[in-house]
Amino acid sequence: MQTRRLSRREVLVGGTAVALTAAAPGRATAQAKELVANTYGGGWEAGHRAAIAQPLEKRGIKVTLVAMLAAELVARTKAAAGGRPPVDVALVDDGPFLLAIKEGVFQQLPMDRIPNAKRVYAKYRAKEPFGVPIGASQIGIAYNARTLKTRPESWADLWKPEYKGHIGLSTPASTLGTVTLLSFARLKGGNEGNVEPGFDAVKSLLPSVSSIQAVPANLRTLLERGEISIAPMWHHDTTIVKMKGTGVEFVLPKEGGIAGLAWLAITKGANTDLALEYLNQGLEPDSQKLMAGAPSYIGPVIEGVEVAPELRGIVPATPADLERLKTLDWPKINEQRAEWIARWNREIKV
Amino acid sequence: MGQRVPERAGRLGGRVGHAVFWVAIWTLALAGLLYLLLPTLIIVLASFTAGEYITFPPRGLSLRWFARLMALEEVRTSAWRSLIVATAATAVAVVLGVAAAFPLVRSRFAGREALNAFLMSPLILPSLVYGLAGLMFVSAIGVPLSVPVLVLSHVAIIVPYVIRTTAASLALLDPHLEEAARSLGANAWKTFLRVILPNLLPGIATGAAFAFISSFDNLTVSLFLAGPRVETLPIRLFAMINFDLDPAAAAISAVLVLITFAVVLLAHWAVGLTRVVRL
Amino acid sequence: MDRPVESRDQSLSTSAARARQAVWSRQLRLWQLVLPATLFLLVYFVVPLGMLFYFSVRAPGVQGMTLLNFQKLLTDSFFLETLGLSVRLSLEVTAVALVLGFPLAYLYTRLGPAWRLTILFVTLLPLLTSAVVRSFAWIVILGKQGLINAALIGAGVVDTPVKLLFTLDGVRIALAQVQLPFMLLPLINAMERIDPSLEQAAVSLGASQSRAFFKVTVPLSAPGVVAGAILSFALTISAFITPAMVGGGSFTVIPTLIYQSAIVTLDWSTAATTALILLVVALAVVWGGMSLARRFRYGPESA
Repeated sequence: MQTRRLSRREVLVGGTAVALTAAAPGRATAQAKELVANTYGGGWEAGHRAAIAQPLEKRGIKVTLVAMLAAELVARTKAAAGGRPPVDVALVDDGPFLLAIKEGVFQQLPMDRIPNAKRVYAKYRAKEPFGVPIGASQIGIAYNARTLKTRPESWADLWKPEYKGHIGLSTPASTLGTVTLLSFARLKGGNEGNVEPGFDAVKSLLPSVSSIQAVPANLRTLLERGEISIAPMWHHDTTIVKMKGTGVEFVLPKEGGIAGLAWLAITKGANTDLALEYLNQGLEPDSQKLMAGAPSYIGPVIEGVEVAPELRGIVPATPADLERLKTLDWPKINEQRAEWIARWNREIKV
Repeated sequence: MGQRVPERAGRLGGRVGHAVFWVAIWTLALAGLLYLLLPTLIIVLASFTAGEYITFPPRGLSLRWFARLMALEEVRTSAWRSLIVATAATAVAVVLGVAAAFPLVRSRFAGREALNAFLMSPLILPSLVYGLAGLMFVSAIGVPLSVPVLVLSHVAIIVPYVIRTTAASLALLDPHLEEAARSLGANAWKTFLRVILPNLLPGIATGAAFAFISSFDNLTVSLFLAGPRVETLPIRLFAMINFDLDPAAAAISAVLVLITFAVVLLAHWAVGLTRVVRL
Repeated sequence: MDRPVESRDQSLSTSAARARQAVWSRQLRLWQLVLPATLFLLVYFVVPLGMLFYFSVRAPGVQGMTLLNFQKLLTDSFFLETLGLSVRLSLEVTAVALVLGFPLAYLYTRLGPAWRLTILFVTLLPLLTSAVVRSFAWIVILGKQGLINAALIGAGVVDTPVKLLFTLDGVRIALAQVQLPFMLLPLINAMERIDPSLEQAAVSLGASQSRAFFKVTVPLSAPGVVAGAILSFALTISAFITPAMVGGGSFTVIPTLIYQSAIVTLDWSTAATTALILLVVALAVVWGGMSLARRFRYGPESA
């Protein structure tokens, strides 16, 4: 009898507990106007929150931003295939964007329901309507002008003895690292199809390298705290560090920096109507202007957005700025990227 | 012991050796103590910095980063979610664990030791392995990740705490008390409510407190089983620190340490820390 | 209510039988109390582990069970290197934790209640604090402007800051502190059970304090040492958060591989196989340690 009573009680209490959790605000309901989007953390998150999430919230749409890099995002979305995708709106770089389209992760977009898409520079528009560009970035060399007297002008300058022990690198797990590897490859006569010279170059640079990080944000932290003084870096990360008064400068190497676009796409099974509003809001002139300034410093993708004078040259304001830069053959890179990552893990040790 | 006892020469050397021995012991012990204490202390103190990023010692003192926490929507949401998950998981764990403690202490049956070991096993299994296994299980049965899923996975890893402290308390309970109550006419249920439970409460409370804080703090299992839509506070904190060494993260950390501090105080008040150690 | 009246009357024949019946039915009822927890763990704990096993013996493109995944991993040089690194790191960290923990546990048994409380408090607080918070603290301490470098430069040991953050050395330092409470608690437990008069007896027989310590206390505390070492090793080798945060991706340990293959590359066969190998290694150490402890239980080797 004692047991039976307790069993009932257990069921009651246990059931209440589970019911409580079901009623918790954490559970996303399909009916409520809620949206989940990923960003790259740090400046990206702050920029997207101010420029997109907050205006949407004023219109009654609750936006949750999660920090997740593109590769993990695509993987998790694929894993959830059929069910609820982990995010409604995906933020991805060029490479993962093309990969995700190929793998059928994103929805085809009804461009007519994104009025602001017309404002996007023609050069930036996607070939197939699976996403809209949201920001333009470039990769160059960040260096601390206070600790290092010589300004690097080319990728080859990284081998200068003055920089020994001050260099930071990123692994091919990130876009930054992949671009770095390819830039080195191109420097030594290779390309997307022949990355061998790139690996050789990295190995020869290793004695000068102080730290290798898988997450670009860690490189930024190290640069900010003076643990490294020179590294290939995104312009926006560099600007964040520069604006803290650390003396860090951004340089486009003479071989050309690398241009990159960040894309917004909608996952399959997402709350499409709300997601379209997110995309559209992201392309609003006011939003683009907000994101081009502090603390995100992301290059605008629509016409008519002014970039502050002190940021010109670092923040790519128009396609003309990016024209001078190289672009990469991402489909070819995507095929080999996993192999490059594995090979880097095996062969490169600092 | 079969040693030749050193005589006169030993005496003088003995005194010096004695001093050296104790100096060594004390030095290592104090080093250990500081080593244990300092990191927690440092991060709490650093959170009061008035500067833009974290240094120790902090540049100026201010509550600005704590104020900023309030403004960060994502932090508030994930904190609330962690609270719900931890409370629900603890509630279920208490129900399961308290019930399980009784037969483990009071009954003699074949396989009791084995059952005990089995129920304690989540404590030694790496939570990383469990998180992965849980994710595979949940996706194999086609259940999408959600708060209830996370709650249930947390229950599995925190229920041993409740069982252990309740069993320890129960083992110390004088069976004569129950006999006395029974002989005075109380039935089993009343005995449980009026005699057993009040005496068990400190043990249960301590177990529940440990269970709660383990769930609230948990990152590894949550990383696998929470998913982007169910962000808990440790996940948010992890992302904040990985992407940006924000002093706001230090403020969150300080708050977490404060909660932990309260849990340890509760454990001491309930059963005494010296008893906790013997668990 | 759960028993018909007749059988109850029958069993009332003798008071002894009645008492036996009461004990039996009590046993039965009590037994049922443990069922919910057991069932819960069976479903939410054992079955998931079964899934792990399932994924590890299935490979894409191969029918039925196969050991292909194990073969692939165990012949991969990078995997073996990572496994070696994980094992070495765990052993080093456990050793440091032991060296710092043993004197502290020893003093615990010899000091008064105020000291004991302090030690316990200082041990339990980090133990219960989130691993994220603790790793964050180490990120702050290990930086070039952090406390350790400030102390080293101030003491004149080095001229320029030592690179500790986002390195293996830094992770070693952080992990040893994370594991110290887990080493300390079993040690204190074991030390408390040693009769202090044993050591005193040795001293009164003419042994020096340190000799008494090493010949009496240390061997007798062996079970605690083994328990603490096992726990420390198992927890360190499966630690994910601290190497991820304090190591910053500059090196790989087994847990990192598991996370990457599970979440980033979605290679669940590899993830499951790696996790199982990790479990086997950890369990092997636990089993080895426990056999060692059993030998010690029958008295120390030396006279």
